[in-house]
Amino acid sequence: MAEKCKACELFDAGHRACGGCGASLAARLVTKAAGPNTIVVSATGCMEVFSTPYPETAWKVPWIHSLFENASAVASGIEASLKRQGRKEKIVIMAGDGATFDIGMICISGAFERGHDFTYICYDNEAYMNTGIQRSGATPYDASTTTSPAGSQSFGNNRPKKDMPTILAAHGAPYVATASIAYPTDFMQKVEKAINTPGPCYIQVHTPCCTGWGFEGEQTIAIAKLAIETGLWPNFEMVDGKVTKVKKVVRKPVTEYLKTQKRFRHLFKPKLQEAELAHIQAIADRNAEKYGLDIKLPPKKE
Amino acid sequence: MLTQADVDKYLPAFHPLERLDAADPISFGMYATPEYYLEFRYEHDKALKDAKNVIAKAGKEFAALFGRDYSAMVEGYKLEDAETVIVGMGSICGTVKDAIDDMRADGKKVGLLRIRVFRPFPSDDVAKFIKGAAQVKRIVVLDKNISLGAKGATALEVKDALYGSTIPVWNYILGLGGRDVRKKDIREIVALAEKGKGDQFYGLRKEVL
Repeated sequence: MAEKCKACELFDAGHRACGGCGASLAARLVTKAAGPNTIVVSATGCMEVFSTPYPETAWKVPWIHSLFENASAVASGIEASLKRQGRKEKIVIMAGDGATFDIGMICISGAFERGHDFTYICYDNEAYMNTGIQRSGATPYDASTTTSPAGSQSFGNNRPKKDMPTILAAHGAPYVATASIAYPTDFMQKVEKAINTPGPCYIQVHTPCCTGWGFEGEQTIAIAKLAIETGLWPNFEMVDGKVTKVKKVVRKPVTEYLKTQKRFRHLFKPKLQEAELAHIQAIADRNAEKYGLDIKLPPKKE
Repeated sequence: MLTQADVDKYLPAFHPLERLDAADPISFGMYATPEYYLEFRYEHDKALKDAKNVIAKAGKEFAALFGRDYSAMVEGYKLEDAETVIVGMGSICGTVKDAIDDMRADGKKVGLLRIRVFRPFPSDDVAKFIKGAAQVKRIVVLDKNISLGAKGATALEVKDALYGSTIPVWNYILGLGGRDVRKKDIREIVALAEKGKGDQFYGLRKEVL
């Protein structure tokens, strides 16, 4: 399908996302991979707002938005109705990390437990961007947001990122994956795989946000890539709760990623916060160990 | 019990005007700015007001097929010579009718004006039943709700409908949270209204205040 639909553009130009928005690219890639026979359910969030400024819409597939918290409940109802009518459309949920990690958690848990056949895609830009960059359960350690501001008393968000993929795998989701807009083919293949797997599937795609993270719009892809190359965004697939595929990297130090974004600049200026940087490096090291991220290079010849 | 064939005669098959359909994709629940919201609300309000005619038409069609007529927005019970008019909504009205029968047996001229449709509010019907009736001495509005800081919701609407009238409208808040309302309560309330004591919570348990 990804091959066939390379020319499909089902997420139209002219929407209101910022230049360099990672989430809008995710929407385009998802609709390309899913194809026209898809119903998209959106939670409240940036994507809902920038893609459907009434009376215009960017969606060339049927699309519905109800509330922040209930996208997976709405999708559950649509799935049940399609089944009753004998219809074959696929259902894809597009929700941000706020709607997924925080506000929609109860509805998501219920829908995954009931085993509805849909693909839930969380576009993870790691905070509530639409409402003014407030931290969410997806905000990484030490990121400065408007509700976790770095300053003389704080290094920013002092909690680790919630492990949603594992939580949903624990619900018995047959297919769970992380992905990145920096690797569009990999992402689209995962979308296809999720759509063609019966039952509730989950993909968490890393979508850098130039406005919320503080970088120039042309850096979006480079920054998404660095997240993977530093081990801060492990890119993997889980089938029936077991990790089956991991993107291995020759890891770079986490500072390579952190220094590109204003949300981490307090770790470098006015002085280098070595203890904090070591803490973040340890997060990447743990990811590397847990998922086997490291490519083992042959020892250098003398 | 109606047969399925009877029901099918009245209720058409379900064909929604708008649906999620890949062959004809549309967007539902879009993001609208204040540039549109005022107009949305205007149209919602107009649609709800226009529903009055739809309710009457549907009620008449239903009556023609099944003999039960729900076309009127309000229902009157023993209103013709009523000096005390009780206004209520919903399940309390059955109890009120029984209480009226008892009170009439004792010679009290009491009637009921039952609000069947709250929105759109049938202000014209309320005014027509009450304003033109010279014998009406008092109106008793029963509310199983309280608009905090004001009155019961029905009382506010009735007062609005009767604007300019000098007939006293007494409001009683009762039965909140599903507390029982009995025939004797309705009699006591009518007695209170006759004494000019109203606009109160009825049946307050002072010992728990």
